[in-house]
Amino acid sequence: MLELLRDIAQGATGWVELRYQARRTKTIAVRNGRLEESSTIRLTGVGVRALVDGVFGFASTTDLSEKGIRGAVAQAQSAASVSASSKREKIKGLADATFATGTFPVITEDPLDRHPLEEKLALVLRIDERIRQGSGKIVSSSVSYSEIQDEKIIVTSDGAAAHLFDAKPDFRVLAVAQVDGDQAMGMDSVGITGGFSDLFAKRTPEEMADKAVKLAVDLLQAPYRSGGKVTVVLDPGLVGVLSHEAIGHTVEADLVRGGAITSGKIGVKVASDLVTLCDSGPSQYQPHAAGELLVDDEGVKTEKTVIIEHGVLRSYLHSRESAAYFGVEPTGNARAFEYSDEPIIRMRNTYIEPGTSSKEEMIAGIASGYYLEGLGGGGQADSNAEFMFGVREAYRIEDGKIGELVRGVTISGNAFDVLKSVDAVGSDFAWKLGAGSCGKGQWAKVDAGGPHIRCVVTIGGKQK
Amino acid sequence: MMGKTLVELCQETLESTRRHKADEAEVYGESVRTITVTIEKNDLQISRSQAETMIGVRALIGKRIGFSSTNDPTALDRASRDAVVLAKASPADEKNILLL
Repeated sequence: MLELLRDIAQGATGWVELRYQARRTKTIAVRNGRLEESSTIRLTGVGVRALVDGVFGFASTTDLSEKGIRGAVAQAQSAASVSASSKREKIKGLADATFATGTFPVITEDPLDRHPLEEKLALVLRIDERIRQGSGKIVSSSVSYSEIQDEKIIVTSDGAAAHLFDAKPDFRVLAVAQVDGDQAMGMDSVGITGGFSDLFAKRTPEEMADKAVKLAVDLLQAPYRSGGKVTVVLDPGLVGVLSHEAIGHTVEADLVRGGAITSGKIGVKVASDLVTLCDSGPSQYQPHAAGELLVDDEGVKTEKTVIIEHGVLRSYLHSRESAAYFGVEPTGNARAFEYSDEPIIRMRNTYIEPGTSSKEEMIAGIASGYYLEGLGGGGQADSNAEFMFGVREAYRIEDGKIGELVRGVTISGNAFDVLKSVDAVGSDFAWKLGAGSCGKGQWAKVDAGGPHIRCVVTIGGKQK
Repeated sequence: MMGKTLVELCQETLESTRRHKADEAEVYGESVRTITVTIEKNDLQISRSQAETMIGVRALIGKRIGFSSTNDPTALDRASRDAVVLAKASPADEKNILLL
């Protein structure tokens, strides 16, 4: 297939990009002991993007014959050329890049295919049962396992020729406890790039289930507290949410051109000196980040992109088109979820670099505040970096010590204001946002994380 | 898909699912051509065309159910087998029936 695509690309008129993708997904979901979904999907096709007269055209096909792929190339070129007269701001060119060539395998000693469907289904059923047996207060349980396995070949007429393999499994548990009509929810999830045993390397499925049950039951007895602006220590999960949702989207170059808050602010101080925030294709500090991407869907070899360096905004996230527009090098952020999607600018693994403080030191330095852990109950952020996120676990800090569990806590504010308030960055590091996907017209598997940080946020609670 | 009609592809998948020993099965086929034009900030961004044929199979063994789908004509038998494997491994549920 690589040779066929390369022959077609090299013989084409003008610039073309061809992506072959064979995808296999498995999904198993159980709720309250009842199987809600058990399915497999196999998708195979070729996506073609052509640049004609300053306009992109895109076509995809499931016909993998030479005739079928050449037909898709002609359709993409035709879509571009007939659109050219309607395009006001023409694409002036594509930035040069370090193109990937060769084969990029999945790094694991325990491939997903070594574990049959029956084993995965039995695991999901067993963990769902464990949650319901975990406490008499549990009234609802939900467990799901999903995996995506990809083979991709990316070829462009100007030099990319990469053959990639990818495997991204994830696992989620949810427990709902109830007493006298009052309900509380406990959850845990993990998602990675790698093999089956890599998925549970940090904690077993049983530990995840037990954690969800304990949290749901404990939250039933936890008090509400009033809101306000307070000093907090955020765990790597919330640092990841802040980095991805509230900062990362504002530096995607297409959103910058659309007027995001970071527009025109390269070189401007936007955060504390202690904050260096990055987005990386390869996993950094810890292996198996779920957004691991060694080559992007334009065939560009990925590296680490420093977005904020010691508090100063240094870079946006780019495709080849946006890099040419801004006069910089591509950052390897052009991604397409399926063969029938065209590459657009997406994050990969977004994080804050570790610092020098310990978690204990950060907590010890707070007279009155909170220790906050994990995203719970969803959230929202926009291109102005304004955000509001639910918190999965919130603990009071009094006189430098962690105290009681508190329920119903949210955090909100402007993400750049929060980053300016950072006065300590932990020396630890974890990826925490690997389960699930990021949506932007099409899905992308991403990850996010970092160390613990200490900062000031607005807490939402229950007014007296 | 390989010069076959949608009905032929569905029949091939149904026969394959029977061979894998499903008690009952249903197969659906869908062939779609789409054209999409995206305009943002009053300017054309991209024109796209897509052609895809999908085959989905639901297999029942007693009251146990499994589902698989593919757009790959060389993977119809694997889709049938996956649906049967999932059904065999799944818990029975009285609500799992094929409506006639």
